[in-house]
Amino acid sequence: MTKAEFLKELGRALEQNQVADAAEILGEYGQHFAFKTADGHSEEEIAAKLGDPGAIALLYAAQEPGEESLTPKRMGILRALALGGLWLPAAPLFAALWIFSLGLGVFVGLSAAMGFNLALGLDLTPMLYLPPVCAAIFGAGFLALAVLSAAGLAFYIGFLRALTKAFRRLCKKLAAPGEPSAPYGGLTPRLSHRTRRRLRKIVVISLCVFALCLVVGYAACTVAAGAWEFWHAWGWFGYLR
Amino acid sequence: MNPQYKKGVLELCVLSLLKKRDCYGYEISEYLSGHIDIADGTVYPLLRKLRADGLLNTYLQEESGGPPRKYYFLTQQGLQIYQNDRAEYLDFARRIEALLEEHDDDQS
Repeated sequence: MTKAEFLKELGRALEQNQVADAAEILGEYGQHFAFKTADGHSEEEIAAKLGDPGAIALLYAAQEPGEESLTPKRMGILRALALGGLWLPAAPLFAALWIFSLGLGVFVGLSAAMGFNLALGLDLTPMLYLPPVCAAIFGAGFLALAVLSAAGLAFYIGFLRALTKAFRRLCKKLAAPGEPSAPYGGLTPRLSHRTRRRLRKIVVISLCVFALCLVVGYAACTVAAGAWEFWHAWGWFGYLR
Repeated sequence: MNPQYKKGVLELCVLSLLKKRDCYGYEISEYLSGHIDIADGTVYPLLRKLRADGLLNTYLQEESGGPPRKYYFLTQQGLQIYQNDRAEYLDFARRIEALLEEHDDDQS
């Protein structure tokens, strides 16, 4: 291969592989030929020692960044956008879930207030008529309901926290795939065995108390009012039977 | 000679040469092909890669009776990397040599 042939083929191969600064590269090899011939070598010999122009062009091509070069910075921005897309629908959902827990908490409070009101005979709000015994029983029932819902709230919040943690881990995994990260963890609340047992006991007891109070209270009211539908007998709905 | 051994050390050889003094492309190519059995053409892409990675840089020097020559020199980063890699390689080579010599004795 002559010098001209070699440079021509190299130029073509460089262009095929979209190598930048091809002219500069060809200049370097041209100089190589010049120096070598000055030392007394033939063009054929020089071209042979240089190697295959196609192979050389590939060596240069391997250095070029890819067409859609994803630099770490660009990758980070893409990932941030993707996560934004994930958070956008997720955020209101999580907000709703947490607000529900607030509502549950309010329910607990109201039940407790009602319970204390009835049981202790406090006249906090204008109450519907209830004979004191019945009031006490129903009051106890409300208190039991408050305890029951409080236990439920504890479970619910535990579940929500596990859910939030799992979601956060999911986002982290998506943001950095391949990096070792913690497993998602179950969606059940992470409570110790002792806490679980205690909560379970509380739930069972309060449920029983609540049910009992409901039944006994109803019986007491029926007896006191002398009618099955004591709420009518006592004019709760605005009229007396 | 097995090309796999050559690939890793070629960079090291280029850096060691440039540590001594600045050279132009042809000088480096001649020096290396004189010491190692490689195709002359592989040196120039390697020089370009090292420059892109910041280990080398170039300047042009006017020559009497010829086109200006592109001289390569070692950057601060290149010097650091060279010293690091050189120590690593020499340690590695010594260990391998010890291993190979040991096993050869067993055979004989």
